[in-house]
Amino acid sequence: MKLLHASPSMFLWGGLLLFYVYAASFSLNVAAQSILAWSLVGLLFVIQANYTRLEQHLGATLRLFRLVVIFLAVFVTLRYLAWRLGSTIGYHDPFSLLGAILLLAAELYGIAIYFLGAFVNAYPIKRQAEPLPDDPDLWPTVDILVPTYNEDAGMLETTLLAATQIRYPKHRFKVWLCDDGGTVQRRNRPDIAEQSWARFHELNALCENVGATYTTREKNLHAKAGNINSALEHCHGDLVVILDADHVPTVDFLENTVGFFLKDPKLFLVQTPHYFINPDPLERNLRTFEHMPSENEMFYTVIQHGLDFWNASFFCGSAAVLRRKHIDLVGGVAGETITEDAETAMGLHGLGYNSVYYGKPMVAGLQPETFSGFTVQRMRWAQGMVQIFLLKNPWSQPNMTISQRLAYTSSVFFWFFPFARMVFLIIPGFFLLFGLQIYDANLQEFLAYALPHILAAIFLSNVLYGKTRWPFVSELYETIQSVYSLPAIIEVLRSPRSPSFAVTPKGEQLGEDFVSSLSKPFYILFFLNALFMAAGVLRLIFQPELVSITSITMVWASINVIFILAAIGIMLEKAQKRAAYRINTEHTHAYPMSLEYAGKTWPCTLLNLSHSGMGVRIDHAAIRPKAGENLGFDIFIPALGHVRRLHAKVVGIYTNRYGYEQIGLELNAEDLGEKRTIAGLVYGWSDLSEYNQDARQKRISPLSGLAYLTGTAMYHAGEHIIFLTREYTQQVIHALRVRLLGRIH
Amino acid sequence: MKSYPNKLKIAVQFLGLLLWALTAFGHAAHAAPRTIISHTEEATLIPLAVLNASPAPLDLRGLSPRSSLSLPVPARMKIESSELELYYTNSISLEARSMLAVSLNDRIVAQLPLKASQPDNAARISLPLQDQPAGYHGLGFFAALHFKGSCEDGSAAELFTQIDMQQSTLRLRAVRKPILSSLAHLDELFDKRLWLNQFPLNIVSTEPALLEASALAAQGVALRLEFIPLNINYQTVDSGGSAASTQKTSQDTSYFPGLAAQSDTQGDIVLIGSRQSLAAIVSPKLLEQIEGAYLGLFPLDSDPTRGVVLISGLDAQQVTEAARVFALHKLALPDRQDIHIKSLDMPQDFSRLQGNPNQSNPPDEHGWVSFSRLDFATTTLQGMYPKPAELNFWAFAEMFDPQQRNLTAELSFAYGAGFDQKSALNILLNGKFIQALHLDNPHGEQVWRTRINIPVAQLKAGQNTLSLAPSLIGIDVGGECKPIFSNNLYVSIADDSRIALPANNGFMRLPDLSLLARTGLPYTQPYDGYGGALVILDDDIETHSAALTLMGKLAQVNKAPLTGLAVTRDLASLKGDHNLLLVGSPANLPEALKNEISTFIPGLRWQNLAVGVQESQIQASLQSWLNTPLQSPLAARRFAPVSANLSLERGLGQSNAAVQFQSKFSGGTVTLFSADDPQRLRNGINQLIGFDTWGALNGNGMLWSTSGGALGFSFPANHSFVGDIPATTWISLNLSDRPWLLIALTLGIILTTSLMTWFMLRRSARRFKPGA
Repeated sequence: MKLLHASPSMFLWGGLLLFYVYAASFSLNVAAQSILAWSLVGLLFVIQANYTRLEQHLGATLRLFRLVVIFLAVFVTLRYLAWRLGSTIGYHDPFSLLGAILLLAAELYGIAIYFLGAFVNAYPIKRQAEPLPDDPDLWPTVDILVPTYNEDAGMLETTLLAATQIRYPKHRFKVWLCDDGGTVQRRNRPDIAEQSWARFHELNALCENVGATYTTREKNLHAKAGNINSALEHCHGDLVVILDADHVPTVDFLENTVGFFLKDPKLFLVQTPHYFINPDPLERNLRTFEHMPSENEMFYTVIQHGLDFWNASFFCGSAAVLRRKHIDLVGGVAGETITEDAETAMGLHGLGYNSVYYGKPMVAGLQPETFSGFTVQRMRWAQGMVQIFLLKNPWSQPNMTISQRLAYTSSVFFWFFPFARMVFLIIPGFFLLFGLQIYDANLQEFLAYALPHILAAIFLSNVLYGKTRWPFVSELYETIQSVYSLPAIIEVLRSPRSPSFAVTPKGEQLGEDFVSSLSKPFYILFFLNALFMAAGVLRLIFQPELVSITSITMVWASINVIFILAAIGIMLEKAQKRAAYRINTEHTHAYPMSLEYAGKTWPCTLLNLSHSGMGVRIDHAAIRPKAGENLGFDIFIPALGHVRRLHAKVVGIYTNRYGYEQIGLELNAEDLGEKRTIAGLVYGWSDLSEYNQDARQKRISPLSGLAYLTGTAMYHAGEHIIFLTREYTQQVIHALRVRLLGRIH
Repeated sequence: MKSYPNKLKIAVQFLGLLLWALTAFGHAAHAAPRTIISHTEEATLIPLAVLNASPAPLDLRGLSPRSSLSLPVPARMKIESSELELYYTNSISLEARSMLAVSLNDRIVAQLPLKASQPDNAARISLPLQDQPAGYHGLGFFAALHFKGSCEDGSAAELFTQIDMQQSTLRLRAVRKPILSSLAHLDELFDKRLWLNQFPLNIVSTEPALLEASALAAQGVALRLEFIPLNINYQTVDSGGSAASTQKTSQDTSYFPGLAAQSDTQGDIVLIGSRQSLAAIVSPKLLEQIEGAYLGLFPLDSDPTRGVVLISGLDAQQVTEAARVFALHKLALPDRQDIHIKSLDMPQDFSRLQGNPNQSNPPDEHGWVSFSRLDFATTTLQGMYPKPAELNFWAFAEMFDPQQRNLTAELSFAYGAGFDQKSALNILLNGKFIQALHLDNPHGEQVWRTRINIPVAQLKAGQNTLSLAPSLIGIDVGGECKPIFSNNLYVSIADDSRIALPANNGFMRLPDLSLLARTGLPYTQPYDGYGGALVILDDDIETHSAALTLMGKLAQVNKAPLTGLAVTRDLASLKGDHNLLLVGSPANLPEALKNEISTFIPGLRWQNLAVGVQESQIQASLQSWLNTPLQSPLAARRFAPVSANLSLERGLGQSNAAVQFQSKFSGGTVTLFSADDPQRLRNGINQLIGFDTWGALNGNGMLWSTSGGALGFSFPANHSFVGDIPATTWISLNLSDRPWLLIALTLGIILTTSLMTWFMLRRSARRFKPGA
C-alpha cells in the first residue's frame, strides 16, 4: 500500500536505480570491460586524491559529488559481482568447491557491507543544538543515571562531580549512581560480602558528598539493563541520561541535547559521541594515538550522521538522552541481548519513534588499556549484535521503514566480519599450498574485474571515511578481533541466548612492557602465511605457467602478513605508567593561566592536563621551581567561564626539544570545590574534545596508508621479536645461573 | 546354401592364385579408388566404402574383433544373386588357426583362413540376399586372430586384419519389379535404399505457370530420398501438340498415351498439369477422375517398373495444392492409387531453430535443451575405443554474451564395472579435445548431469559437433598369459543430458556458403522458406532442371519442404522476398544487383584476394593504447588489409560458380549459381549436389569443375550478422566494440542516477530534517 502512495518522482527514481543495477550487469568482452573499469577507477582516483580540497570548496554540492563517487564505485563493484557470480565458480573437486564457496561467501559478505555502508553514508546530516525556552521551569526534568559494577570510587567521583555540575537548573535534574557492586545479593554472599559492604558504604558517602543519589537493588539480574531498569523505578524525570561510569560529561551536555525533545514529541533518543581520552591497545602499542584518528571516530563522526538521515541512529549505551515515557512503553531498557542499547533503540524505532544524533563530543571516556580488555569488550559487542541479528532481526521488526531496516542491517551484519576476515587470512593457502582451484579466472579477467573493484572499494572508503579512518586500519582492527570474536560468534550461533554481559575492564595501569597472553594465534597465522609464501615461491619455480595466479595470490598473502605483523606488534603491551592520560591543550590557547612564584604571578602556557596533573610550559626564565615544591596558580576554566585558583605540586622539570622549560604538576585539590573545578577544567569544555578530535582527522592516500601500515607493522613486530629474544635470553641466563650456583653450592 | 563352403573354397583358391600371378596387374587395376556405385549390363557394383560412408579401410584388431555394415535392399528390386568380392590383408604374424568370418544378419556365410604366408587375399562370397525382405541387412565381419599357441596378449600389435573397403565390392544382380500403384507406398518408389549415386527424375509440366508446383514436386521426391542426390530432368509438353495420340479406343487401358516421348528417358516421372492441359496426355478415363486437387500414382504404360506421379487439379491453384501435399513427405497417404484433396490448411512463415536448425522445440524456461531434442538418442558404446557418440547443435560464438566463456552442458551417463583408472569419457568439440570425465569408479556408476564446459571461443559458426569419445580400459589390461576382458566395457550416454543454448532466432553470419550447404540458411529461415525466392534467370529447360535440382537439395538439407519459398522466372514480380536464390546467367540481372556481386562473375569482377596488410600511423585510441601500453599514446600503428583485385573479360569456361552476398537491392542474402551456358549449369548443379562438392561449399564464392571437384574459393573481407539475438547480447556486442560510447553512456547513467538521488534525498532531508 505504501508503494501505491509513492510519488511519481519516487517511481522514476526507483526505475532509475533498477536501470543502473541492470546496466552494471551488462556483459562486455574483457577488453571493453578493462577500458570501462579502469576509466571509472581513474576518475575515482582523481576525485579521492582531491577530495579534501573539494570538501573545502564545494559547500552544499559536496553531497552531490559524494553520491557521484558512491555510484561510480558501486557500479564498478556491481560489474565485478555480476562477473564473479556468473563466471568464476566452477566445480573441479570437492575441496576446491569448498574453498570457492568459502571465498565467495566472504566476498559476498564484504560486498554487502560495502553496499550497506554506501547506503548508510549517502547523505549524512549534521545538526545544530535546538534552543531551550527562556523559562527554565519549562525545561524537562532529567535523571542522570550512572550505572556501575566494579569501577573504583576515584573514577566514579570524577564522573559524578562532572555530572552534578552540568549547566542545567538544579531543580530540574538529579544524578543517580546505580551500583550493581553493592546489591543486597552481593552483600550477602560470604565470599564478597566484606568488599561489597565496603563499596556500599564508600559509594553512599561519595554520593552524599558530591550531591548525587546512591541506589542499588536486591539482585544482579539482567546486568546493565537490569541495573538501569531498577533505578528507573526510583526516578521520575521526563528524560533519562545514561552515562557509563568512566564517561565524564561536559557542562553543556543537557543544554545541547534537551532542546531536541521539546521540538519533536516523537523523539525518544538523542545520542552523542563517545570521546575517549586514552588510546586503545592498538593505538598505544603502535604509537598511533597522537596523529591517527581513533577507531571510534569513524562511527561517531561519519556513520552515526549517516544513520541519522535515515532516522536510524541508535543508542550506544552511554552519552545519550532518552525520553522516559518512551522507555516505559517498551518496558524499560531491553535485556534480551547483551547489547541492550541497540536492542532498545530498534524496539522504539519499530514503534515509529524518532532518534537524533548530535555529533559534538560531550563525554570523555576511557578505552580498555589492555588487549585482553579490548577483546572482552569487542567480543561482547560482536555477540550482542549477532544476538540481535538472530533474535531481533531488523527485517522481522514491525513498522520500521526499509531504510531503517537496511541501516540496522548494516550495523548488525557488520559484526560477522570475523568469519570473512579469517577466510581472507587463510584462503591464499588453498591455492599456494594445496593447489585448489577456488577462483576461475585468468590474469586478464582479474585485471579487468577484480582489481578495479578492489581499488574502487578502497577509493570509496577513503572518500567516505578517509578523515576518520586511514586506509587499511579497519582491516587491521578486524584482524586483531577476528581470532577471538569468531569462536564467540559461533557460540552465539549455536546458542543465541547463552552469552552473558561482561564488563569491560578500564582504568588498568600497565607497569612494564609484556607480551599479551592472547598473542599465540597471531604467531600461528604468521607462520601459516609464511608457509603459504614459501609454497608460492616453489610454485613460481616449478610451475612457471602459473606465474600470474601465483603472483596475485602471493601479493594477497603478503598483505595478510603485514596485518599479522602489525597484530604481533600490538601484542607487545607497552607500559602505561601515568595514572591518567593527559589531554593536549597547547594549541587551543583557551586556558590562560598564571603561576604564583616567588611572590609574583607569571603567565605560562598549559600544555596538557588530566584530572590528576598537568604539563605547563614556563615562558619566563625567572621561574625555576623545584621538584616537590607546592604551587598555586590561577587558570581560566572555559567550561565555567571564569578564573579559579588551584593548587599543585611540582613533580618534574624538563626542557623540551625547542629549549623551553616544562614542569609537570600534580593537582592537589584542597576541597570538594577545587575537585569540582578540576573536573570542570579537564572535562567540562566540549570544544576541547572537538578540537583534539579535529586535529587528528586528516585524509591520507591509500598508498600512504599502506606504506604507513607496513612501516608500523615491521617496526613494532620487530620490537616484539626483540622483546621476546631479550626475555628468552634473560630466562636462559637466569636458568644457567641457577644451575651454576646450584652446582657451586 | 548347402554348397557354399565348397564353392567358396574353390573361389578363394582361384582368386588367391590369380592375385599371386597378377600382382602388377592387380595393383594397376586397383589404383583408382572406387567409392561410387556403378552399373554394368549384368550387375550393380557397390564398393563397401559406400556402405561405410568412408573410403578408409576397415581395421579388425585384437583377438576377436568384429564390425558390421548395413546393406540396403530396396523394395523395387528383385535380387537374383549377390556376391561379395572381398579384399583383405592379414598380419604375417598370425597362427594358422586364425580366420575371418563373414555374416549376413548375424548368420555366418563364409569362413576364410588367415595365413601368415599369404597376407594379401581376395575372396568371392555368395550372399543369400535373394529371399531377404526390403530394408537394411547386417553384413558382419568377425575375425579370430592368433599369433601364439597360448598366453596371447590381446593388445599385441601383430593382431590385425584389414579389409580394403574401396576394392571390396558387392556385386548384385537384380531386376526391377513392377511398382505398387499405391500412394501409401510412395516411399518405396522414391527409395533411399536404391543402389544409385543420383536418383534420376523427370518432371513433366504442361504449363510454365506451374513452376511452383514443379518445385514442390521436386522437394517431395528429394525428401523421400532423404540424402540420395536427386537429378531432375525438367520437361514441358505442349498441351495440344500430342492430342492426336489420345484418340484411342475405349479398349485402350493405357493411362498416359501422351507420354510416349518421355517413356524413352530414364527414371520415374512426375506429371504436373491442370486437368485441361492434361487432356492431350492422359487417358479420358483418368482425366474424368480429376475433379479437384488430385494426386495419383500409376505405372508407366510402356514400363510398369517405372512410376508416374500425377499432380493435377482443375486450376493452377489446385495443382499447387496437390503438389504441396506431395511435398509434405511425412503425411501418411491411403493405400490407393489416387486421392482427391478436399483442403490443405498450411500455415506460412513459421519458425524453428532452437539449438538445431531442424528442431522446432524451444529450450525450457532455464535455457536447457535436452539432447533428445537435438536428435540424440540414448547411446550405448562398447569396447575399448568405440566410435564416438555425437551431438550436433547450432551455435555461433556471437550468440553469447561477450563475457560468457563457456557453454554449459550436463551429461547423464552410466558406465560399467571393472574400469581402469585411465578410463575416461573424452569430450571433443568439432574434433578438438576440450575436457575429459573420469570413469574411475571400479564398481561402475550412474552419473546424473555432470557439468561440462564448452569453450565459446571454440565454437564454429553454425553447426557444431560435440563428440563423446570414451577411452575404455578394463582392469584386465591384458599382456602375456593375461587375456583382455572387455565385455564389460560399456558406456551409455542418456538422451536426457542437456545443453544450455541461448534462444536462437535465426542468428547468422553471412555470407557463408558452408552455412547454406549444411543448413540451407538463410533460405530455410523461416522453416518453410517464407520470404525467400528461387529465381530462374533463363527460360530454357536446362536452367529449369538445374534450379529444380537445387530445390530438391535444399529441401533435403532442410529436412522439410520449402513451401513458402517463391519460385519464379521474373525477378521484378517478387514482393517482399529478401533472400534470393538465383540460377542462370547474371546477364539478365538488374544493374543494381549486378553491381553488388563481389566475385567470380566474368565481365563484372572476379576476385578480391587478400594479399597482406598495410601499416599506417594513427592517433592512438584509448583501446589501442591499453592493448599496447608501452607504445606512445600519441601515435599507434594500424594495419589495414589490402587485396589484389582481378577482373576477367571471358566467361567461366568449364567451371561453375556459386556466389553469395548481402544485397541492399533485395534487402537480404543473394546466392547466384551460374555457368557459361545452360547445359554446363545443369551438369554443374548435378555435380554440386553430390556429397563431396556440396560439402565443399565455403566462403562467399566457390568454383567447381564439371567433374565435381572444387577449383577455388573466395572468402569475404567482412561478415554481416543477421537475424535475431537477444537484445541484451546485441547491445553488449555493440558496446564492447565502442568503448568510448560505453564510457559515455555509463557516465551518463551514473550522473543521472546521482543527480536524481541527490534531488530525492535533499527533498527528504528538507522535509523531515529541517534543522539539519
